Amino acid sequence: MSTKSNKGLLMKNNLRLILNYMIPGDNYMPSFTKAVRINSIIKIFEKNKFLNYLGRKEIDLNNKKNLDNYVKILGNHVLEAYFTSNLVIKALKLRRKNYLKNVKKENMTKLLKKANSKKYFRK
Amino acid sequence: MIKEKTDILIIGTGASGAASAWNLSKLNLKTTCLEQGPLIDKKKYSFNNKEREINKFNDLNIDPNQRKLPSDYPINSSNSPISIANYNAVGGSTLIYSGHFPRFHPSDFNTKKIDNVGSDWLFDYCDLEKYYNLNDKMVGVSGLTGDPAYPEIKNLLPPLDIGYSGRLLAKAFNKLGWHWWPSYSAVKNSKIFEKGVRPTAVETYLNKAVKNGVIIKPNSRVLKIKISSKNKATGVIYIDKNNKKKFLESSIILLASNGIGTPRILFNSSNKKFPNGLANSSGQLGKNLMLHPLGYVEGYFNKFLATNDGAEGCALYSHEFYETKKSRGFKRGYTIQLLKSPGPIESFHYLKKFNKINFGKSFFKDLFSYYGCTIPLAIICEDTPDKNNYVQLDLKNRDSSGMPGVKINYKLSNNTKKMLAHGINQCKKLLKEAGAENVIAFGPVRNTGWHLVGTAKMGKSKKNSVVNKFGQSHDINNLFIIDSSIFPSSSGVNIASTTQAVSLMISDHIKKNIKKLIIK
Repeated sequence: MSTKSNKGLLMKNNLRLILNYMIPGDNYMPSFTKAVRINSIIKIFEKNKFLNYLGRKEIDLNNKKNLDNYVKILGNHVLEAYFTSNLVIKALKLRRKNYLKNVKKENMTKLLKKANSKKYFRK
Repeated sequence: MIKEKTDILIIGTGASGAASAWNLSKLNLKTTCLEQGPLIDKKKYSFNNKEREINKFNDLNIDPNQRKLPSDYPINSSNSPISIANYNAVGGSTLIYSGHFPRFHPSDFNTKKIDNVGSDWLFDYCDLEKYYNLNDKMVGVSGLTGDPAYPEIKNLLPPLDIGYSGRLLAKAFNKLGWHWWPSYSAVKNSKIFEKGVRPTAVETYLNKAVKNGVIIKPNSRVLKIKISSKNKATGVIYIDKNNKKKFLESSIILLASNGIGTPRILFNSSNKKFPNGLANSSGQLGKNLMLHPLGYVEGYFNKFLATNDGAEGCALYSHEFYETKKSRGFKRGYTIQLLKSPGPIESFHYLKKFNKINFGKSFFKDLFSYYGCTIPLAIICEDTPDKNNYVQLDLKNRDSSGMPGVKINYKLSNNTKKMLAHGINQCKKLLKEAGAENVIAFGPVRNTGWHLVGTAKMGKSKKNSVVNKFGQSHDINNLFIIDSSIFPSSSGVNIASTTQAVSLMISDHIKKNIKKLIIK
């Protein structure tokens, strides 16, 4: 394998590690790379030196200073790509459904019957 | 300069311009609309667009000074606690409005007479009712008949669901014995209204107007209105989409550029006869700016209530404190609106501002402690006219065509300050009653100057008003103002419904008198 493709693989792996560190997923929500294609993030940062740097050596997620720097660079793009992903939109809907499945929805008309119904408008 | 000709010219294609364009399209005349903004693809501003939350920070930002698009003009609000929100495109600010669609109260039309505050209109609720009804039909308004806050409103589409948060709040209203009612929303298409999707002026009026032959010219900015020696408006100088200066001759000119844009064009059209702004012999142009100061109160509940779902603008509202009550210490009143809570991206940014969220292990725990767990309330305060609140040209800041921007000079009155404080206290009480664990409140909220009212007020006399009851300039009788700048008072509700009803009423008047107005 050429050095160039090695670098590319390393960059992708490192980026994947960072992105999934940022948004790791939980019971309902997918991790970042399950929801968003990593190439879409690479495309955004195509001309950024940051990606070249990620292709040089394995990153250390324990190095907080470096990590904070990556998060700062990726921040908004990650957030926007993640929450506009179809998988995430579906996950949010499912989460909503499950959280509210035992919540009773009272009849609005019944609630309105108990509302104050004196006339409020003046001519 | 290239010359063109039309019979009727409408400047602006927002709420008011669109309604009149459709109404006048039934005449057998050439009607042209000039719009300084572009024609935007519906997908971009649709509430179903999954990127909508992102666009709110970019191209669809409500603040023209942040958007800085070529179609925007600078609005300097350094001398005001509230900054201006608008949108310049075909359809105007209805592209980004929430579709909350209440009418004014009957009392809003005569606040001077009944409460000795503000100015009275030259017509009342009954005069406008026919146009409210027509507009409701065109827009497709959902709601529920029987609201004790209003005279009976018929033919509404079914109301939107008030959601879990609405039910929680409704019970609190009932415990306190306060008025509440499911809100009025612009929904149009019954198949999609449940999702809170609202139609814009493009779908409700402009598409129909174009079918009837109205010509819409996007990216066309009006610089000046020209007049003849006999004080007749003759046409406008505008810059077209190719940056070419043109003169468009017209028999009738209708200004529909909102409470900021309309005085801007008139001030920029000053000439020897009208050195202080066209149609401004009264000196009232630009004065009496009203903005609906807004208070924000947010209750935090330690459970998921899906408060980010539902009606875009307002699921339910209260007019408990709308009318004057002496013991409150202020005149007139306000609306309490139940809003939708922010989506995930906005929630993140909000939490980040207070350092309450980070990427990493606790990301979702932090996010879901807030997202969908808060009930936000807005307090829309009635503003009263004050000549010291005014709009002027800002010669230092110009738009992409070199036309001066606008500076607004605005202060909250003592009456409004008291009203706002009262509203905040009542909303805190309400949210506590609903079971909120924590409540935060502030006001006036800065980026909320989207209801722009009063800067070319209507009145009987040309000595103290700009237009008559039909929006017709006292000085130039073929020049009409059809937007909210002619409102003598602001009410305490969103203005889109009344703006369009007034526009329909004025254009009906023009239709009836067309033979007198048209110069062939």
